[in-house]
Amino acid sequence: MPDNGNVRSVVIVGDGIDAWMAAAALTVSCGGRFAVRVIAPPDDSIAAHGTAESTLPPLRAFNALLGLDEDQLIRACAGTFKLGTQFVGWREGGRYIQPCGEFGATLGGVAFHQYLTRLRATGTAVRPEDYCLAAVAARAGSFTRPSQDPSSVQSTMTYALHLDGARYRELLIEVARRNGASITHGAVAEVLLTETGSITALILEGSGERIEADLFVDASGTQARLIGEALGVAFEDWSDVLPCSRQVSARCDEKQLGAPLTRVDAAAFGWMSRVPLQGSAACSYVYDPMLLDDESAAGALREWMGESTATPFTFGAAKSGRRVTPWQGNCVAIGAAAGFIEPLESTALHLTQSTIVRLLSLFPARVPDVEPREYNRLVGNELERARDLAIAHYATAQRTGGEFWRRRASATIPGPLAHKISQYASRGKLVSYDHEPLPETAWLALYLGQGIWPKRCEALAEGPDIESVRQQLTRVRAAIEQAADSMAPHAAYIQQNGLGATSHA
Amino acid sequence: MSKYGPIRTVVIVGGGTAGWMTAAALSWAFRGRMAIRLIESLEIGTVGVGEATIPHIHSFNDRLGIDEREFMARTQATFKLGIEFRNWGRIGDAYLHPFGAYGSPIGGIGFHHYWLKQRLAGDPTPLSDYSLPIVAAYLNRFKPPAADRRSLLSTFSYAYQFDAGLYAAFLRHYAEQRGVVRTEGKITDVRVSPEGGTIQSVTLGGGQVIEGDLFVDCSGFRGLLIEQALHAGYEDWRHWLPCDSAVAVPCETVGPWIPYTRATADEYGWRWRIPLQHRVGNGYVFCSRYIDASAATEVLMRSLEGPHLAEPRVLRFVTGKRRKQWLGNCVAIGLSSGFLEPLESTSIHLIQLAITNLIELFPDGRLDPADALEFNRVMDIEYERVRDFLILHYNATERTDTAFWDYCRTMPLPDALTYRMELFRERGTLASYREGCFLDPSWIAVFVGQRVVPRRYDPFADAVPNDRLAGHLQTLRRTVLETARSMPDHRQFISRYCPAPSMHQGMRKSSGA
Repeated sequence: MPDNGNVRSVVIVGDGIDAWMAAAALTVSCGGRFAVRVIAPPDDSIAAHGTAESTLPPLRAFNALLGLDEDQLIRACAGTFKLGTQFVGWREGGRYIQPCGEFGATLGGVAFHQYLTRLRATGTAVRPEDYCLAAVAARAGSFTRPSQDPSSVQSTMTYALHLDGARYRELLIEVARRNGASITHGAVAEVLLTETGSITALILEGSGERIEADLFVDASGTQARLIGEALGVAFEDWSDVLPCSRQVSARCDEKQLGAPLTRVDAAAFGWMSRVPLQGSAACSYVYDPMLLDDESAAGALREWMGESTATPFTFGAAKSGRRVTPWQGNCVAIGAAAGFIEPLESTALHLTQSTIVRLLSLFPARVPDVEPREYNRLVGNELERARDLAIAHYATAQRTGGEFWRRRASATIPGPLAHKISQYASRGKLVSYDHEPLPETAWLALYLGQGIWPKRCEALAEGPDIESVRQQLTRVRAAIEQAADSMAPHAAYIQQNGLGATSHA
Repeated sequence: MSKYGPIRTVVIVGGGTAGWMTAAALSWAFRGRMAIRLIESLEIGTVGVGEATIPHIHSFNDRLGIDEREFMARTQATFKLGIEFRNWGRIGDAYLHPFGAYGSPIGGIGFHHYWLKQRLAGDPTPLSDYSLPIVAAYLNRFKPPAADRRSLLSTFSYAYQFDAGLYAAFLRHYAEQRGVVRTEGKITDVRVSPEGGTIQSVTLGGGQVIEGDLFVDCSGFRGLLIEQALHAGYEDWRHWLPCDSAVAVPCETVGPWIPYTRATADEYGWRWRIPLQHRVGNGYVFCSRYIDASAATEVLMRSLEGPHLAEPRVLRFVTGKRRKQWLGNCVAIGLSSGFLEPLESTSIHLIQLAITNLIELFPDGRLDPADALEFNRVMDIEYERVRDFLILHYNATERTDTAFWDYCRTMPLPDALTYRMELFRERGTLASYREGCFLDPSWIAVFVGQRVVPRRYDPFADAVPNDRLAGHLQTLRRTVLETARSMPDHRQFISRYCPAPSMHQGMRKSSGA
């Protein structure tokens, strides 16, 4: 290979899932064209503390890119399936599923929810989830991998995975190392910069080793060791609108695996989540530290979890916000180092994946020039849209009582989000902007789940006579029920397909 | 279901392509639910420049249930695989902007990066050799694409070239069958509500007053309702697209029927050539700062390949966009909403887009401002994306032969376009946006065709070994050529599939718009 001046060496700083997702993806993609070295600070393996990852469907494609067989992954990570997230208590007595899949199907060029809106206006009680296969199956606690056949009702559903974070990280390390990544344990003592703000080298603590590279990837999580601490790139803090920046987590035993769902309950000072794995479940309380102290938070979580707590409570902190320029000079921040949104929408690994994929597609040939601008534009847009979706949960919440919810109710809503909500409210139009991290369905499920219906349906949906609409919708519902009935109970599906967790020493 | 009641009467003002497309689509969507009236005056001519289309028109026609063969036969239509651009990058250059991709991605990396890699290594093969629609177009072949995704024959799309006047007539028939009431007359007065902002009625020459809940302004450049009555305002874009005039003339077809439109850059603008079944449409879009209409007409007449079939007509326009295309109860569609020269055949597409959005955002009697807000937001983005794509053609040039080209080559650009050009020039990356009708292959075609060739390719393209890549490219070239050769001749295909009634009876009969 002639030396065409390409980037020959990449150093990744970090030791969490972010870092190893990046290391695995870079080594698999580069075909040995450059060296990948991970500098792992000794106390940075955040993922090792018993977290469980509630992921989104696109992570499956990422795993495939890395050559991780899904069945093996599930066995190794005590994985379970996820057909959506169940939101509980975001309005009094309310619960709804935000599904990995569609509501109904487009009829005559009109979005399905337009007909639901119309039917409801006639006085008929409409339960939107009845028209969504992923939700109906999840409610029944069933799961079967959907067929690929686009004519089948099953193709309206997809799925994601719940994974043990620590084990997933181990698999990523394996992939990265097998593909040539090297690892050096040690904290970064010093970051040497050029006058123009590029990184020339890292100096390790203790050994004093000097580590040079053409490109530095900051995968150190919210610490932002390089992009923030060393380069001083400003952090745009969004905790005024998303104040739940602290989290307490614990594991509990789970003898009987339940529905293929992540659960997210509104709580007095934030929200609690429960991610089911094989044999255990990971529970967290994500709360506003200005209003709630750690001890009270842990107490509230313990109460919510009930009797069996298998692991000690651990605390973590992550503010919502983003680096103003996540790529600066020869330093690219990925994952939480680039930006973080409180993970109401399971976006943590999703945003990490997305930043890595964008880095791959913009990987610089030599000295980065135009690449940072495009990366920063794409990542910035995506984070803002993820932020808007998280804010939308609060903005549409109908809860009274308590300082936290009073503040949420009066928080300012960013302009683009206000436009989205008002467009939906007027006649059910789902607005999408550039680089939306989640599909329109996520928004629709949120609105419908919160009981927000458009004032009217789209004019086109008023065309067909109401009886034919009623019949059409009944047929859709029946087809979905039938498809859901043919699925296996979640736990049985895992057992029958040999996906039981391999015991871990 | 709304408390405010529905829209009962829609009044469309103007019966050109925009007017009848709107009437047809609304009659399809809302037949029997509201009165749809169209007012047109035979005294006022229609422009009908948009004789070439882009593939998006399929979704419009399909939605309305229009039979392709019938529609093509009745509009003298031919198939279109792309647009050939001559003399744009340099005098003597030619490239074709195809409706289809170049090759397919390898390992998730765009095909053009591999082409670029080979080119930097000395392989002179043009990118066009990897595009089936280009190779087929230059062989005058045509066949509709295959549905099977694995087939090379599925890697392209197509559009039409047709007589816009006949298309309007075809849609008029469609609309009138579905209850649209046509009124002939010239509008002499427009009554606006006392508080302003909404139109109450229009008055015809004979004194007839026509009221409506919603008015669609398809009156052309002047914007009889949106501008003259409601004063929406206009954003002038001539500093980026300085051409402000066109002269058009049809001529007889000489030679084979080519399945593509041609846009030839000239000293002060560009000339179009649109082949139909019964004639060829020609025009010269020019900048009156540099050349007057009579000189431009002379240039155009000299360039004709066959005897002309009508007298040349001159049009004037101001490139730009109405500041608000939907204001109150008035929606501007077609030339009343803005004008972008037909360099990339987008006139009909922008009409279609406005109609699609109008149907989706169709108001009720309350006229919720949210409807207009979203309509204007989306249309603004689409207009700007097309605008930037057009500007690229003028700016990416090495021509220095006239003051016109000196201006275009050196003019300041919209930021978004500068950005796109830098990103592509540096590393062959296409800036990603959600909206905009021209996708990556279109931008690649124009960039590469006009000598904006990336300095570097995606470094991950190196992961494919050189000999394997060379073998793959060679096979692809051969397959493209063989597949193109297996397609039938364009004219023969039309004569079997959708011949216009007059096709075999000589071609002298013209049907002016």
